Amino acid sequence: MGDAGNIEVRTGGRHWDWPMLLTTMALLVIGLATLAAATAAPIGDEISARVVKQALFMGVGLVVMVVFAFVDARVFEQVAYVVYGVVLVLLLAVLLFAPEVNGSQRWLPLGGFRLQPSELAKIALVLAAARWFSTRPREDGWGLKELVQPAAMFLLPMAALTFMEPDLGTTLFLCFIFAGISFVVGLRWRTMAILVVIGTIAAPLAYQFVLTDYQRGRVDTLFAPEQAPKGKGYQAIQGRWAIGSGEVWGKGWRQGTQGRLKFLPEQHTDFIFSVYAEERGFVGSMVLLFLYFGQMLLGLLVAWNARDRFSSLLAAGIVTVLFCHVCINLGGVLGLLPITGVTLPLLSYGGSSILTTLVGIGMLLSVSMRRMGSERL
Amino acid sequence: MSGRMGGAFGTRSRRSAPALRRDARPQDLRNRLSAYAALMLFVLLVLLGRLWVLQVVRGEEYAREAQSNHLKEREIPAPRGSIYDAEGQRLAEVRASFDLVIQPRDVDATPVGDRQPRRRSSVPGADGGGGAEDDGAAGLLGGPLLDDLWTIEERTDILTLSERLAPLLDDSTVDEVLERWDEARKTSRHRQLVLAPDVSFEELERVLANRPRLPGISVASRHRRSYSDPELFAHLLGYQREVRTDDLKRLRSKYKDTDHGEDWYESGDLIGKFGIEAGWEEWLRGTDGAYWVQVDALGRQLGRSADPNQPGAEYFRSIAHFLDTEVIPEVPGHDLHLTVRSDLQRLGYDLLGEQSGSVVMLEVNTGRVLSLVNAPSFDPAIFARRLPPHTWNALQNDPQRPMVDKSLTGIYPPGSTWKMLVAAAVLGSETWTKDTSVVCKGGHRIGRRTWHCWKRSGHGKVDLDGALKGSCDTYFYRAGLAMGIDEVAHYASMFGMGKPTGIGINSESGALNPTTAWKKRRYGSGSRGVWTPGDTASAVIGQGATLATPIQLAVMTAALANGGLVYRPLIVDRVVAADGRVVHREDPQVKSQVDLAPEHFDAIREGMFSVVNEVGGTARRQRLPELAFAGKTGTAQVVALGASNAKEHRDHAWFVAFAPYEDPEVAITVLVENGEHGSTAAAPIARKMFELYFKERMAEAKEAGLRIGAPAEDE
Repeated sequence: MGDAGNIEVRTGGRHWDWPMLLTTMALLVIGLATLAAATAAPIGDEISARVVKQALFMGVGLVVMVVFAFVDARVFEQVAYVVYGVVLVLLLAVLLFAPEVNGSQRWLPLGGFRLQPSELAKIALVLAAARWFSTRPREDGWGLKELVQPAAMFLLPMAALTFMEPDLGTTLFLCFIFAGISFVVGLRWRTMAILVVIGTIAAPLAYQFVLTDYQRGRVDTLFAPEQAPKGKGYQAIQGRWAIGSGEVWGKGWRQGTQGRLKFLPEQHTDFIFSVYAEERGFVGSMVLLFLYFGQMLLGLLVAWNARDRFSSLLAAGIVTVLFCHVCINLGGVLGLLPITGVTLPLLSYGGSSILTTLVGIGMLLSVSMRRMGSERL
Repeated sequence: MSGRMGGAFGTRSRRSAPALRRDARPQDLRNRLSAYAALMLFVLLVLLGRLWVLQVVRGEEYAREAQSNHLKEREIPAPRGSIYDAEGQRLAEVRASFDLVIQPRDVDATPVGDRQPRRRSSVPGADGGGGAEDDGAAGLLGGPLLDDLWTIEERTDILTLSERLAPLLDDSTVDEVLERWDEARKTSRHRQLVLAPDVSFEELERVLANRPRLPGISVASRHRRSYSDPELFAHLLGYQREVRTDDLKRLRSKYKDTDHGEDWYESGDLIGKFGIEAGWEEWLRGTDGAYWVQVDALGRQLGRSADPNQPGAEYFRSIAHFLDTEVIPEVPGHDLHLTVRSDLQRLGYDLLGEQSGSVVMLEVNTGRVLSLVNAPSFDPAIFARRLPPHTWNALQNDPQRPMVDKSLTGIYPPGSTWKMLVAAAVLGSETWTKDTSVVCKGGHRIGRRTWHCWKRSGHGKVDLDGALKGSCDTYFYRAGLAMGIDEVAHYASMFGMGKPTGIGINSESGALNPTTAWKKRRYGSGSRGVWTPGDTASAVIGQGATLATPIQLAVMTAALANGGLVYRPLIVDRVVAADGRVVHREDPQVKSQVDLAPEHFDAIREGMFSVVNEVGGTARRQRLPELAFAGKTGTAQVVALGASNAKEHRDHAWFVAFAPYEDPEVAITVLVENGEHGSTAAAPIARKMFELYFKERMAEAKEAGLRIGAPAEDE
């Protein structure tokens, strides 16, 4: 490929995307430290067993990430539909075999480890959609009519299966991913406007007729948490007090009273940001947000520089997954969106979340390493 | 493949031909990627803006809220003052006790209409694996974490909580717990509410062992009363009960503008309801203090000051100044030192034994009460807890009325003890002199009816001395008729009859000192309201309309002994603060003075002396060789003569006395309900009380062959 070397070709072949790697490592370190604070018993200096477990997951995840980084993106492209099919089967297996916990089926017990296929579904959807769209560039963009086919092929099966678990949060999440990818491939602005109008009209109707009482309560809580300070609004209010009480500089690591004294429900998973914000204050929260958004913007840069359409779309899709996670989680914790069970990537406790996030970043690194001009290995 | 790629790189036109090739460079996506980046930056700004609002703009406010979350005000209960008898013996003190309490904000209220059994929500670790179903909250928020002890216990509702709590208690039902909750919530929605008062150590252990299942419930220590001799002093000391909701409103407004403040009483507090506990409540009650503790979300207390091992030690140090300065010390209640002597009280109570009655003894020159006995009695401890209706009914329906303070509120016909008042009136009004004599032939005829003397055979010719000595009814019929009832009532009133003595506890009764005006008021201006000579005859021998309380007769007797000073009876000698300072002293207080010449007092006292010491005296058998005392028996009809001889229809026996005869020191009233004869049922009790009071001096007198208080001419 000598004739290619004249343009934008970087020497040396592989390039580690160090900024991406460093932001990821920084988030992992912050995540582990925050988890240590969130799981600390009110008295004593012991480190919770969960921190060790999480560190283990992070270690495994980093190895997996590096492995994925070395895999050529073409391999992802080739296996995209296969992965999609496998995950679809897993989702079906969940419906058939998973034990019912709290009224829904989500976890597949795999000998000591519980797999949550809905986490994998996010990556699988990105892979499949990226592959499908990559060979179908449209000069005049995508309208609703054109989107029916990919939506029916990729989004609908997964959305239907997760909806039946029921796991409405994941169903919506998958819709957002699909929307994100559609946006990148050129969803028409006019179509977007129509979708926004439909959404605005549909939201109150869905609130009234589709949501369960419990989910309605979550929405109500968003708008008036004080109405039920100890009921449904408990989480929202305690989280708000935790974040607010951090003020500018925070209370210090493991000094947050809201977190340490367990006033925050789900503080090591979905509400871990409130623990962090309480202990690190506005300054620390700003640093964390810069890290997240820096990482996502770097991901967009990877997509920008990607050597082919699939790689670009894959990168954009992974960034979309991260973006949705961060927005929905922080939006809920900060009281801008209803509280839903969406984890904060790399901070929330949980093996499935850590592993899938690091797999995604591994794929970003893979794309980044083979960016324009460096595709010849 | 490589050729195609090469072509792509070679031609730098990115929008034309290569755009359709699958691995063409994705330049066509770049517009959208830029727009995506712009959207991200916008979201970042929104999130940063929100954080700015929460942490910087409203940070202080939320910091306060978070602080109130984990820093809880804890009450330092102020001990109630102790009560001592005249000799410093402790009659009432405080003991530590424990209540189970809850903060209203820590539990969901169950609407009253929604009280049907409902599915219990699951409790990690408590119900085993079986109760995993719940409302799905954990589901939406991630997997359930059954192994996590520090995850906040699912907050529950009061009904569930009661259902878990009640079985751990010895004798509380779910309904009782809920009832307490409802009642307490009416007064305060913010302060802690008592769900179970005064739990035993065993109950406490069970509750603490089950604490994870009882989110929100905490233990409050509280002082409660313990009485050294509960039944002996039940009516005098009284008892406390939990303050009632309607009382609370009244107390709030009462103390609103005082130093105590309107929150001096709170729901669940104890308040004196009877006896000295009620009458001296303001002195006895202390003011609770408060301190701050750090608690976790389950209400577990972690510490009260900076401790290096404590959670948030850094933060704690930063608020240490607050914890230190915000300790409000409790102010203990004042101690009361009574005038009552336990030994006299005990003797009077024992002497009454199974009988129903009263023994009131007081100092004639001060009005200080030495004994205030009521029998039978009750155990005030029954009021410490919710009183079962059957216990209450049994006490209410007992014919001996153990709950009634007979000494202060029992109104009885005083019988012949009233005759001293008639004597005072007849001498004072100069209707007769002490030497005026009357012939008693066993009765006196008024109109067509004969009013009998108790001695049907008659007393023969009697003067005042003889009339008192033999308690001759005929003499007093004639005396009363000679001056009219209003004259008698005037003198009786001067001795304090017909109005409360002012002892200050138990809503004492004023009884009745009848007059012609009274009868008109009572029965109207028609013929029914006309005072008749027969009414006078009844009234002057302490029957008919005439009524008195034992304490009134004791004050009267003291006034006869001291020459006419009517003292307000005192039961408290002094009030002592916790630091030993005497903050209040009850000084003897003369309420009124009887307008009667000294020689008339002498004449009446001589008659009372004869009662005990002369042949023919109705209490002659109680004469003491070492102590000269004077008294008067009384036998008060409960129902008209000729009625059945059932126990409850037998006459009440009275005896009033003072001692020594010369320079008197103490006066006594003894009432034995249905005791039949003052001379046999009541007088011996008085004599034995004197024997105890004068014990040492009588022993000395016996040694020396003297008689204490004997009149000069008696030798």
